[in-house]
Amino acid sequence: MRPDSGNVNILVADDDPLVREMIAMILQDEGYAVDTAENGVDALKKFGSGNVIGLIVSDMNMPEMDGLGLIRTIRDTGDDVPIIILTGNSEITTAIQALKTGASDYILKDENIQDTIGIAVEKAIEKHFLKKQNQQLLEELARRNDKLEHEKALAQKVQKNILPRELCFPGFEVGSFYRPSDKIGGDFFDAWENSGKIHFLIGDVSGHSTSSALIMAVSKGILQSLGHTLSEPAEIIRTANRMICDIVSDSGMFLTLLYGTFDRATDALSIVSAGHNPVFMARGKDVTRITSTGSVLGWDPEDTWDTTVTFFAPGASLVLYTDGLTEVRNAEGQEFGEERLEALIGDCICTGTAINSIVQHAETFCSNDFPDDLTLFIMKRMPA
Amino acid sequence: MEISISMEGDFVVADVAGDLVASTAEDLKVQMGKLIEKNFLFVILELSKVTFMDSSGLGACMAVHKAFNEKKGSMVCTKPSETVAKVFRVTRADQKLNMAGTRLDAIKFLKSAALSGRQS
Repeated sequence: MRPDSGNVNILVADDDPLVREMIAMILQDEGYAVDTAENGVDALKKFGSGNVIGLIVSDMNMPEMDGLGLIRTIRDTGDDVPIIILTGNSEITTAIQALKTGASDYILKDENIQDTIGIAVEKAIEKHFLKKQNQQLLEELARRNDKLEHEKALAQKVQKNILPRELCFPGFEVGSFYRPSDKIGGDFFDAWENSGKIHFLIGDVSGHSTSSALIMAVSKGILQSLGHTLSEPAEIIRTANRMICDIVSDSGMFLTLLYGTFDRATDALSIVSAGHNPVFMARGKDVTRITSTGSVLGWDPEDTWDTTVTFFAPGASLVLYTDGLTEVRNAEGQEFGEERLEALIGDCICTGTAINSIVQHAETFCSNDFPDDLTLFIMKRMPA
Repeated sequence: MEISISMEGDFVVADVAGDLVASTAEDLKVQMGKLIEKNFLFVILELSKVTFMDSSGLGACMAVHKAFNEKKGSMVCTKPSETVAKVFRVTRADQKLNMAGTRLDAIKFLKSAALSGRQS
């Protein structure tokens, strides 16, 4: 809302009563409420009297306290009330000094003053109003940003609790690394043991925003729940997909997921990879890839998946990760890539070292610029 | 990312160039949404100049594919760049989207889809 002239009190300070009264009259005719002062000291007194002054028009040369002194004293208090200086033709240098000290504008005391004073006052009031409005908007924006950041920090804590803190399984060494690109992300992983089988999963929801984090939380809940009631990965994925399709609807959002089980009785590793990037099974320098066995989750409720069954040998490591690791790029635009990761995996002995080494190499490669969420999850079967 | 729109007979060709990622994926949805609004329902999405595509970009392709289908139209993806082809292959999006190796094949597909009025 624009300022209304009737709501603005103007203080006119000039030691020449004729000029003072003339300016007061012009401004009153424009609809402003006007008070007058004989010099700077008088003006300061009236400015601080309690009446809200919306603008000051002041002469430069006045006894006791001149215009510059008045500006300086008011600005020293931190008040930004607009001050327009009245000046003669021969005092332009002084007027410039007044502008530097904090005056809003100056006008010449000449035969046009009747026209110029009204325009200058209106402009100064509007500019001040816009400045205040802008300031308020910036403060509001900062408040909202703070609130958003606070909410994100809270969501980060919740998400941290959704992910497993420590994973321990007899006969296995398990390590993980998780870093969302922002405070919250769409990556997730988990593992648990149920009826002689270790279930494990790693997932990556498309995007890496709040909606991804929301779908991540729901999906992980669904999978965990299904994993405790069903035992075959393909069946778990099929059931989860139907539920996830309902949630993501036609948004185009989806998640890649790798779900596996290790059967302690048979040493068999059964893996379903729903559009997930290849993962690695490493035994010393011998590294093999386990590739996708079907579509991503969330696109088609009728989708089905094949299961890769392999042997999880003692001493072997299963390296799961999300594409936030392999798709980071260096300054030349090259991807970190699966080959680079594969080469690093072959050199690692224990999960902790492997994770540190891989993450450090990736950090150096992309100069710590990770645009996507990154998860690395390694399960090593201890040698017999 | 830039999307150049041109006509090839009765069909629209949307030629995408640059990175199709989180920051640009919405633009693809908006541009394709505008085509749907104007009733251009048979579209060739050319992807040979896409330099990088992440999950948001893939999600956008799938969302616009579904949006055209819903309006009884059809979108065909052609000439995916190597990086796009790899993402399509791993996620099996190449089995969900309409794919054509050449623009000529895409036109044939769209002609057939338009004629039969089937939702592909």
